[in-house]
Amino acid sequence: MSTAFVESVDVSGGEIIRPETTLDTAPTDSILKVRGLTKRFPMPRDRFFGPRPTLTAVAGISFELVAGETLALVGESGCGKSTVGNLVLNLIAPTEGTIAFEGEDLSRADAARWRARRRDMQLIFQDSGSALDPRLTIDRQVAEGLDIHAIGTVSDRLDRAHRMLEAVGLGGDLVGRYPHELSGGQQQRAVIARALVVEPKLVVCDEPVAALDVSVQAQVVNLLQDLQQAYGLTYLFISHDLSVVRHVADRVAVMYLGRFVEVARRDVLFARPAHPYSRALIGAVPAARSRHGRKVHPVALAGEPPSPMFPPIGCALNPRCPFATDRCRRETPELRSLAGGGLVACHHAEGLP
Amino acid sequence: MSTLIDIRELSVRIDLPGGPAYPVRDVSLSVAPGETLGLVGESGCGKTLTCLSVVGLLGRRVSIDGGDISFQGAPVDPNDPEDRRRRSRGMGIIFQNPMSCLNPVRTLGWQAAEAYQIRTGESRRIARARAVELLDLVGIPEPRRRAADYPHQVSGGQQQRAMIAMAIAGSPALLVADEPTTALDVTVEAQIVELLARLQREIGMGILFVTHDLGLVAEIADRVAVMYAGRVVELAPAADLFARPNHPYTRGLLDSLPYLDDEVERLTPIEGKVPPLHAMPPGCAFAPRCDRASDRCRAQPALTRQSREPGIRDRSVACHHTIDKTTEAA
Repeated sequence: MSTAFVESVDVSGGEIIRPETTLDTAPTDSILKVRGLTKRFPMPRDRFFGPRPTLTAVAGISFELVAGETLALVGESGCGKSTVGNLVLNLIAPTEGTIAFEGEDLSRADAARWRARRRDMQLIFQDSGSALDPRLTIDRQVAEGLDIHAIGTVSDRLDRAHRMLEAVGLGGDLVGRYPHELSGGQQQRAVIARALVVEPKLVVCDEPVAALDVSVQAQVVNLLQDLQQAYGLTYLFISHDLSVVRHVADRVAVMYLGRFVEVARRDVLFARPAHPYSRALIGAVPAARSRHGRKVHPVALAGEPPSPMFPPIGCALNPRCPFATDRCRRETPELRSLAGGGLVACHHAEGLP
Repeated sequence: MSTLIDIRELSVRIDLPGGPAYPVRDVSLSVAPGETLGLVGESGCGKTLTCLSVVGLLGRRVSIDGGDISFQGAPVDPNDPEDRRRRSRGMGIIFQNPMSCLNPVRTLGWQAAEAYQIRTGESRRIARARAVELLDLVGIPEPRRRAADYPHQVSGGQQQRAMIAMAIAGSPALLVADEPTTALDVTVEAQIVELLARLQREIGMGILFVTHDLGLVAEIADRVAVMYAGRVVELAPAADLFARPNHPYTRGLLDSLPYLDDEVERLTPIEGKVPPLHAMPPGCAFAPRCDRASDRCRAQPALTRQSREPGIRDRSVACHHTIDKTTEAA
């Protein structure tokens, strides 16, 4: 049952990453500080009087974001990466843990305070088709954010919206169109404009290019990078596409079953992934997606990710990991620093073949 | 007989309220026994409709407008029920989303048995026994127990394996795989690709593998056809296509991908977007996005012609200004 796992979660949460282990990644002027973030969802009972099982989507993760950087969260579906994005913006409330934005602890902030702070923290969704209001022209939707946060004068707002749309490449007569009159790439540009018009500092990008075709994907990736430069944005970039992540991220956190299994600077992770799961993910990228051939020796994982309702005891990867030992089946590894830089949660990271 | 399926100048028509549209135009492809042909392109390029034409699953208002398809040497007649049966016996198909293609109220074993029974005409009893073997063959653990499971009781990867079991029941000569791994996670995708390669070796079937993932197609296909706006713009052995793309669109696609070992700061997208079906340009459909486009490209469609590269057989491209060695040096 899931209770075994819940007990193994350090309920003190914030202690999971120790000060020395954050050194590598701990920035001096962090904009966002997340400590011991945990989210458990109660699930329907199996039997009428049975216990209520819990699904631990996020199990005590901690990280910081420096202003202007891009931290990518990668992992397979169901690993909890989108839940982290939603927790950071308080779209869902955490079960445990704290979120501090620009030094202000928002864990106990009320709805009004959150609404005010969300001007600085925006979200770009994956599915732009359903994220846009079908009954509003895109300039109206972009101006809506300005209305909500009472930015500028009423007459000025539509002008601002037009300038923002121009900046994302939707100028001219496109501004007065409805979402269904736009292509997928243009819809995603509109979603980006809507997020950025309120001049946020932090943007959570949840699979922003996953639904786009490659030729358009490159346009949107370039746009996100240009906008980051122009407005000094900080990105929490959630993606399952490692080649996109390799391109946009400064640091990467690899998630598996609600935990960070490895956090490292981008170049370190892609050159020398330390965790077997990171190696499996990077190794699973087809060789043709490297210009000079595959450098990471792939690790083949057995089976599929287990249900987060019934996670394995010990290291969550142990049933699939070819290097698992008895210790992995007993003891959950915690994130610790590695000599080469980066943090890893694996008992045997140094000794793997 | 050297080809399993031979498609000659296939055109597909959709009847829309505003008049007919042609999402597939003059597509010629062939798959040999034991070969994997990769069909790549972006959404809306006509790759799925090409597949559905082959297996005879075009929907209402969609019809084959021209061209010929022959399967195992005999021409395919879309309207002849007897010929449909011949195809259903000889072809298997896997779709992108197994959850919406499997029957939710039948067990996996029942569905695999049904597929086997239809293909082979064997009795129900034999088909049931064979269904368990099929589930085992596609790597489903504890196949006897899983055969009694309904689709919603197993994971997405296992559903896709069950779908493959149905597709290969009765050992079809051709497997049509339409984005079979797109809905799956990468570590599971690797397992499914491995499985398809193993089944191909064991059964010797030809595979028409449709995907939008250029990296994946490089890994699995012997030859690759690139489609754009309803046409095959380039067809080449996989290694040659990736080493030396001849068509500006193929080159553009490969350049727009982010690579794991990129040094560049910026990606190189293909500017613009695919022209809509009802407003195809009169000339080459790629001309409005192509930096090599000339007046000729804007006026006349580029016809498919064999590549002039020395020593390369079976390579064709549809472009007035093929990227070749001379332009490369310039």
